[in-house]
Amino acid sequence: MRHVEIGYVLEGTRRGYNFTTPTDGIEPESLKAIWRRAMPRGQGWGNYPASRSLKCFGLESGEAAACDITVTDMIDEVGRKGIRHAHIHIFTLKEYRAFLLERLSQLPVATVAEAEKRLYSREWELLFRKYRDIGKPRTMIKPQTILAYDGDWTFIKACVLLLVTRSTLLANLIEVSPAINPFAERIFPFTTLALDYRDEGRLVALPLEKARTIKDVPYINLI
Amino acid sequence: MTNLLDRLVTTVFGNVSSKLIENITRSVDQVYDFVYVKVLGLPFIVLGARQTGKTTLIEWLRENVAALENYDPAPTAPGGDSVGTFASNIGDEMMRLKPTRDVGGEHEMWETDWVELFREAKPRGIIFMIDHSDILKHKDALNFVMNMIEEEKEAQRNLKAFLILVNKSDLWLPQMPLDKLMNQYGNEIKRLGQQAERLGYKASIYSSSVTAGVGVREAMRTFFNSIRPQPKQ
Repeated sequence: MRHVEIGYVLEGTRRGYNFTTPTDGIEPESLKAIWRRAMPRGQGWGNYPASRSLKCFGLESGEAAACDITVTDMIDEVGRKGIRHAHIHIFTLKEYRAFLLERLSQLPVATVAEAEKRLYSREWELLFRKYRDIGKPRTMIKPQTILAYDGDWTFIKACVLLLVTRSTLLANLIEVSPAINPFAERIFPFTTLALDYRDEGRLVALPLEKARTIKDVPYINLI
Repeated sequence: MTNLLDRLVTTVFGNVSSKLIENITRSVDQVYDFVYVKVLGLPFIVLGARQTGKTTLIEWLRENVAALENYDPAPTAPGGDSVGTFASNIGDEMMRLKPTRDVGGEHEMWETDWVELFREAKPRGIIFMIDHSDILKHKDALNFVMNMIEEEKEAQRNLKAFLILVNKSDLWLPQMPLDKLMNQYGNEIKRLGQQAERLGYKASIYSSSVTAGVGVREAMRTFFNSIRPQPKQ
């Protein structure tokens, strides 16, 4: 496992977002992909202080990047808030699976149980939505699933981690398990908190107030 | 293309055809203009060093408001944010605009986010934002963009206009007129003028305060009317 960080530098000549740890030993292409994709999308992060997001995606090298993002309390020279900091771990496939399971096991048992229950009750809704809105999002081959929630974000984290670690009916509705689907993504890209669904992975969770502003793209309200 | 068509029709129909050709060309240009301005959106990009107001300008265009005094953007993260095509009130006309992405202005993002955006958008216009602070930083960024235009032959092909928007005029204009501020960019302005002449795009400089809504409407009207297929004054 390797580790890099993207942070916001407030002093010196190279101010703003930078890699704040050495990047030695990481292939340039992987580094570029991490730079472009590590931060969850959207504007308005200043309204979500101390929020945390987990964003994972595959790299061309076959490894997985798991990014832990925190909205910091930093304020830049012109008074802008919503500055984020990312800890990025680069895993092999085996390490990555263990990492996801460990993250799931760290969540409160009651929250995970509630998430399982809620997800089960949304299976048919997801199925119907998927076929009703067949052209939205545009691609049928690799469609994006947007979850919306308003409340304790541990719950949505549990939902997303359940979907990416267990081969349930709902998970298979999002993408049929790699065990039987040769086209499935080995590292399913997801984000547990973003403020915009565009440019995000196949599974993304948005605050309900942000999801409500989306036009023409279906989302699943988990409230 | 027009010459070729002209020659072909002249050969077939004789000289009487020149008026016909003019009419056809005008009609084709009008359709082309309509498709860009009303349907597809005019492709343009907004660049500039950090904290110059790129996100705020895009929001100003998108929201169609006079001023954005209470807008409070977070610094744009690496990779930028996708911005869909939207309709904006430019001058007295509703135009569809296509900025493609909102990118950050940190030095680390120039080689990655800026170049990729330029390649992806193949813009008809570039709005380059500066302000009154840290002249060296803005000069570096402006020189980088001019180098990028020079090197990216495929992306540069559609470029029709380059606007330097000197933002935050509410902070510097009371102390210093625009020409005095721009005197400090003498070499860069000269280079931009030479490049514009050589590559066939129009370069201009405007001052504005996007948050206060001063000067920006006039600058946008001139810029977008100069990048449309049928430029208007």
